[in-house]
Amino acid sequence: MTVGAPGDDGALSVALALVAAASATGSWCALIGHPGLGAVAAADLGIDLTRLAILPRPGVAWAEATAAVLEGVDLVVLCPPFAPRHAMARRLVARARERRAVLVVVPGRAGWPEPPDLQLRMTDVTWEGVDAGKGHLRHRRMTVTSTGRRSAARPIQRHLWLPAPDGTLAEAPDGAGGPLDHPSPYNPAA
Amino acid sequence: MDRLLVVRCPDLFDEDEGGGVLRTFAELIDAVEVYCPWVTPVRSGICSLPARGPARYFGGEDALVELVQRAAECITPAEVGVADGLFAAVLAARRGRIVPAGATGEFLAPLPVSILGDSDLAGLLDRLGIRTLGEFAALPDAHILGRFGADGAHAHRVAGGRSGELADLRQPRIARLLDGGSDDDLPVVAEPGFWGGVSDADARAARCLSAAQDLLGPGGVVIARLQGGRGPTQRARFVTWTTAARPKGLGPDTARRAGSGPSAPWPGQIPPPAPAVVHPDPVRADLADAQGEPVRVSGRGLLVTSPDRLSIEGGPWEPLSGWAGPWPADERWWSRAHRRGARLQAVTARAAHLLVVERGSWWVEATYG
Repeated sequence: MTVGAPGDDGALSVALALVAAASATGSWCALIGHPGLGAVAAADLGIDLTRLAILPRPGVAWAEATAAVLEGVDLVVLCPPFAPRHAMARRLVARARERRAVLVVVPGRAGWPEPPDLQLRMTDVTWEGVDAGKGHLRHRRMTVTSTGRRSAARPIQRHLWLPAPDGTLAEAPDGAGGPLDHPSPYNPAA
Repeated sequence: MDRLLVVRCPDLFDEDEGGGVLRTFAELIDAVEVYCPWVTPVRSGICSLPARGPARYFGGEDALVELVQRAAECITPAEVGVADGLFAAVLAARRGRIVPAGATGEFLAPLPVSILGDSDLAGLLDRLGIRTLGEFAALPDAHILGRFGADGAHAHRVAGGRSGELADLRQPRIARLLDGGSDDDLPVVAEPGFWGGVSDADARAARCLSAAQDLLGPGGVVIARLQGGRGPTQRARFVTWTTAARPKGLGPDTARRAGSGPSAPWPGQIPPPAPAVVHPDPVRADLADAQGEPVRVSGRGLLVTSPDRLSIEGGPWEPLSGWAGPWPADERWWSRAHRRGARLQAVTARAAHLLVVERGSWWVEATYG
């Protein structure tokens, strides 16, 4: 799946929220190609840092390293340093499917050539809590929309606080009704 | 491959029921930690530490080995050795040797293949007339995977001194036991006998992460650890991943309590939530007031004028929709020098940043990405 598009604020946080969901079930996760993880934010989201392997700067071997990690880790968040060729992207996706792992791509500026099974987009992102010199950042409101192929074709939209004031993920109080439903619940068998 | 010093204490290989062996091993680690804070228990009776830094500090690997040996011998009989990678370092310790950097292949070559600890592989190699690690390592890579499988291919790289350690060399539960935890919750079925072990998932992750580390080199795979501190940069550090990394510093729960509780030990800490991105390298920023003049901070850490717009790394000016702070920052976040500065939260239409100012220059320390 891919999370965010170039310029989407909050893409990494959404990806980390997915890691937190997997982490809560005891799964091993990996973050590849992002040298600046805010570890405190990750822990506050509920991520078990002892089971989050970070490959901060995989360099030119990033695709090979990702393929290796997909062998034994349940969820991999990949921030590719540059857009891979179609064949390489397809190989990584196929490897994830074969190993029943979840590959979450945060394409950032690099982009990703393959249409994903599921795409999450962030819109209406606003920070609340600060004024001109008063208060401090308290929470961020965002609307997350998931679109996808096959069974996920019907778009799902949720209004979230990510992070909420305590650093976790919460449904925004006046968001669209219904129980909090991650647009893409972590599911290694999917 | 990491240059490792290994301490090997044969008397402590077999745990006893009373836990006396484990206590002695914990004492041994405390004694060795005097020379290096990053001592990793490998399995009962064996621990390793990175040799490069301490060797430089104590005047060479010979000197370090002697110091560690003397410290260890006060507790229990010990053998000490140094080599590249854990597998060779354990064997070097058994022989009391320092294997020079890059000479691991030569050192391993005359040893019997049975030392790899895989009896199936040893039997197969024996039938092929291959008796030593050197002969095994000399087989061309191209034939290995098809003939001996993934484990065999990894053993082949270890035999040639091209990879640091065998996947099941470590006994991860030893770290937990040493930390006073119990291993009662470990499923018994997951214990593959002498070497010990943890769940299948942990073993699978350990194997693939070892492979990634072989590919990327030391520091290629890291784990984040939380610790006390004022700014987001100080509150975490990244340590090289190992299968038996011993949790030091604060766990997530204690760190969270320390960060937000009323008795927070770090006055001046930015209130939660924490930023998701902490820039590993300084990112230059310009912060200007409504007149376009740079925003300055007084000697007492107060803003002289109100921020109005922000430019990152010489990029276009972006108007601020809000800002907060300043919070005092006494430490220079990318070096050890102490300087008085201040932190500021600044929100633009695209993102929220944590800025830090020092001697009139603004930097983006973190982004709430």
